[in-house]
Amino acid sequence: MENQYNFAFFDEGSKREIRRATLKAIAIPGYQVPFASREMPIARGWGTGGLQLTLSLVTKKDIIKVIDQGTDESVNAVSIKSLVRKTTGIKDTVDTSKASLIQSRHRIPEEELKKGQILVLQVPMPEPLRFVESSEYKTKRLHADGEYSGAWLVLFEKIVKFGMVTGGAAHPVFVHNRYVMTPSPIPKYDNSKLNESEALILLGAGREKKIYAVPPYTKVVSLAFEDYPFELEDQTGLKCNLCGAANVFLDEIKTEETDEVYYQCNDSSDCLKRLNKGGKS
Amino acid sequence: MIDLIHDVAYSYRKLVKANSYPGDIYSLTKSIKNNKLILPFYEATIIMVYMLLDAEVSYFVAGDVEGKASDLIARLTYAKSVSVSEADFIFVLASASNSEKDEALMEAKIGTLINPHLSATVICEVESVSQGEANLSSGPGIKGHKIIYMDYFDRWIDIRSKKNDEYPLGIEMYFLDKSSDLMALPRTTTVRGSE
Repeated sequence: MENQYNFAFFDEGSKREIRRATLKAIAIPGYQVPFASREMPIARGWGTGGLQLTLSLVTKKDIIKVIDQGTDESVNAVSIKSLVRKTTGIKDTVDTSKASLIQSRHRIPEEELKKGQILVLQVPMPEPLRFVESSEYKTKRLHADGEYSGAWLVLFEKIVKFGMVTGGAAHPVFVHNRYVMTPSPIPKYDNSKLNESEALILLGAGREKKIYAVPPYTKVVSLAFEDYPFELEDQTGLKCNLCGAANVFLDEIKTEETDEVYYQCNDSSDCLKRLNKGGKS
Repeated sequence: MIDLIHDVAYSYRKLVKANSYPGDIYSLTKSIKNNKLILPFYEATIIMVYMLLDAEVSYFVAGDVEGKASDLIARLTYAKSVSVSEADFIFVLASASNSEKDEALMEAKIGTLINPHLSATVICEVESVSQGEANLSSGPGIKGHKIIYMDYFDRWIDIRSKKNDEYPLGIEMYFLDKSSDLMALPRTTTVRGSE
């Protein structure tokens, strides 16, 4: 461990402020608690919200996993993992089941999270009503009144324009029958994992200075109309080119030379685990 | 001395778990074993003080004999001592009389609809968080229902449910006992009274 910094980078005052906001966020599921987002050694918009949550949570006993769009080895994930490791001395892992703390950009791991684990999601735009209302004060009032016509209108306009609810990520959800929440830009495929999750899910938006949470065993429902029900990405008949898995979230990959399209597990560690267990299923 | 970085971090994780799984009991014993201060309250309370309070927040102490607890908290954290209705953190000490306990809960601020997080957190010292009257609880963090046990809590149930009546307004309650066990009840937890 390199000791030029305080344990987990932050001074204790900063951690205390983030911790207070986090506790209120857990107590009010889906409500965005404002906090004094700190300057970080990575640029805002690159996961500073999630990183601040992680650094306020981490202890010497933790094992951390960091993923970016499903992979443990992208630049963002490696950089964040490296910062946490260097300022805490803790171990990291790619195995979801072995991690006590998981920071993720835009995916919930395929492997089911267990009681006691904490998933930290990085959020670029936490406000589900921002597309219809630019004023922060007004969106706070709309949340206060439970006035979510704007969120429904966004979905309705998509149906009018395209005949379906388009948009692959950040589909808004209704949390504990009270707050409409952006589940960070996770694919619609992951929305159901928020509902009655065994693990605590924390969401941090560093640039927008907001922390919010989905506690374990909390009802989370994706917004949908009776005649236009919530639909997942259609991956019928597709399977992973490497491990052969079919019922997982897949990336579409196109080979430029041949224009050949193939699919691969988005969650790389889950795919690797399956391969190590016995190759293609 | 309590390690203000690591002991506090371990305790915070216990508190996060306690809030995430209301009714579950977590021990703070390891985090306070190095405490050398002579305290006018439970040892587990000091770790909450270190963890949550600083000059940015305010507090009130109910049942504070001769103001010793309040003085110590102010000296350790620089937090502001204010009236119960303004306090961000309310400490209800074991030495508080029944009327002081009731008043602390009744006067606690519940936030506003625009800012429901600007509400009080009530930290209560109780005899035990694992023995006493049985109460049925449910809500986020609880799979189905859970029985929680606590003495005196039956007295608070009505006041607490009135404070939390207009969700998202409400208060959080953390319970600490003599054995340094911790249990939390966020505002979303419904407690239905004695079974």
